[in-house]
Amino acid sequence: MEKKKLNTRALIPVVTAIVAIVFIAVGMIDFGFWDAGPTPGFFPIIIAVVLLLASIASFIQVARDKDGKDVQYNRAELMVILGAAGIIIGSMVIGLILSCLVYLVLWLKLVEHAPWKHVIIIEAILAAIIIGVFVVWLQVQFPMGLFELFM
Amino acid sequence: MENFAMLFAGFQTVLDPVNIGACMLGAILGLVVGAMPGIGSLAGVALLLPLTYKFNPTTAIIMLGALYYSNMYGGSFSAILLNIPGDTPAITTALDGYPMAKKGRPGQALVAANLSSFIGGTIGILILTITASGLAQVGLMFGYAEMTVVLLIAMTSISWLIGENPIKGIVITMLGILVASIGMDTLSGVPRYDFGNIYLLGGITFTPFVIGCVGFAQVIKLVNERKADEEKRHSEEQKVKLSIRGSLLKGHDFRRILPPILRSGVLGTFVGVLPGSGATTGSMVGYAMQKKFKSEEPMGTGAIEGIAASEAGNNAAAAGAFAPLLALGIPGSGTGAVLLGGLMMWGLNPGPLLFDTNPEFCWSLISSLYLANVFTLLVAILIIPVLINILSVPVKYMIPIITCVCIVGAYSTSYSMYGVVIMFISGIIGYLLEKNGFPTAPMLLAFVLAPMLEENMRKAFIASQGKLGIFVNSPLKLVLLAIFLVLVLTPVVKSILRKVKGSNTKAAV
Repeated sequence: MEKKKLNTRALIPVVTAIVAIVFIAVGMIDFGFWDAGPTPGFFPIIIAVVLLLASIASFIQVARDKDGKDVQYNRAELMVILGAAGIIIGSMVIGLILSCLVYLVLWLKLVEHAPWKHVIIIEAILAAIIIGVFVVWLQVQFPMGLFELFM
Repeated sequence: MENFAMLFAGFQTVLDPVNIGACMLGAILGLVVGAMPGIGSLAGVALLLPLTYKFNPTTAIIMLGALYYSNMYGGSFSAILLNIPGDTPAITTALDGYPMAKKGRPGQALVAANLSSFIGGTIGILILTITASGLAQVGLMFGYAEMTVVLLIAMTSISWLIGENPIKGIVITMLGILVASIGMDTLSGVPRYDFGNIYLLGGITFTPFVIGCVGFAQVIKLVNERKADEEKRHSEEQKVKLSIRGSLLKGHDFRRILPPILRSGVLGTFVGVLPGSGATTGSMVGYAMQKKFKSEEPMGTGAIEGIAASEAGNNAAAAGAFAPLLALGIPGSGTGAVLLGGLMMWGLNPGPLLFDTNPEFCWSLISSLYLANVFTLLVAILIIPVLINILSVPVKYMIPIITCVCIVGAYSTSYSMYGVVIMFISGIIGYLLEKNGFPTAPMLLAFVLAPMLEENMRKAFIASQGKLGIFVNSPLKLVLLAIFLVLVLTPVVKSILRKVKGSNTKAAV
């Protein structure tokens, strides 16, 4: 599998520092810190300040650690994320259950190159779990996508 | 004696057919999911959480307890048969379990693990029965300031103990608290940090968040284990046939495992009570202690005593962790945090008052653990002949199945695609964090405990009119604060000492 280098070790503390700054700013502007007692912004602001300081310390740690290896990501991990995103988007068109079942076939055939026998068995097991447990037993009404227009 | 009378009353609730069914279902599902290599108890409990929505609160909690408890059993199966620990507490089980299986005794290794889990767990639940309400009485002495410090200790200890980097522990803990502060402020009712988004007004929903952080994040990581899994499956060792009769222990084996089980059972329970330790520490401490005692075979070469010590310690700690969870509202591990979140979802607030306000619930849960322990042992033994088939589901097939279960589960708990989106985003964040060495368990713990921490801290400040002295004006508070400071400063001092030692060594060279 082709591996790509991306240094997220330094990126994570930067992102958490930004999150902290946003929480401090919004907290101070919208909710305040103290008004004859602690206001709704009091607790999140304290926590965000600690997060900001810890993020800076973490960033310095990464910057100083010259021997540390960069974190590696590969295409297969991205495929899992894209697959889940595909189900979410697909649910708006063909509904959630059908999206899951289509995704399962596509994943097993295109990514894993599984034989049809395995695909059919796994598809039947998943359909039984979704329909048997969630639809029949838990009585969850899943989104039907565009099919809802015809029902 | 009063505790046992209450326990008996708890059994009367639990022995209702629906509750027995829920407990058995929880035991079976928890065992099967826990046995799947690579999923683990944390993700297992998170994935199965939506199933409890069907029941009334008591039944749901009984099922949740059984799910949590049986998950602890399951981790040892793949550790013994495949040398792949299903969960971190099973790492020490693999050290002797797999060599014992290679010696031609896989069935006995499994039964030894199951029996040790059962007896160790029973010791843990017995100690829990005796001590939990007493611990709650101690908890009743805690005011807002004491509870604030106790909650800080709980959050700090887990972020300090998991991983080697305390700074990352703080980052992840604070992030968890901030995520929890999105939505309605519990004290004033003011919506905050919703950024104009109508969905964020209700806050980040607990179950989809947990399913994403641990379940979906785990699937993304699991994709890298496909190749190793395939290779292991093609090796000759796994072509074993198991039967219940061929797996039974002889009297001599039983005499060998009993002393380590009793030792680890007691020790593991007390380890489990400590915040931040949990089942992994329980199994490791039990295994380490067994090394100091004589074993018939050397430890690490298939000694049945090693399996017994590890499994008894692990299950006893899992049971012991219920004491601070119920009595103080403080979970000892990430899985405990998910369980606590589940309890809160049902409107129950674990803490010192729970034994007074909801005694029937507390004692039903404790008695359900006894029942779950028995059911799990039965299922674990009966499942032995088909265990190889369960474990032989390849990782590559588990990936799309778990992805779908995560999505469907997230939807079913929120009845909205918002839940699915929360699951998806928190899954990606959880994966990125884990990949970069930020453990997600402290984030879950912080997410669950944050509302309680905020409420206690703000009320303490309101009571003292903003004076910090409220945290140091009694001996109890001083002791708690000292524990907190020791926890915070120990890694810092250790790191300074390491640097000083390193520079001294360089100077000497």
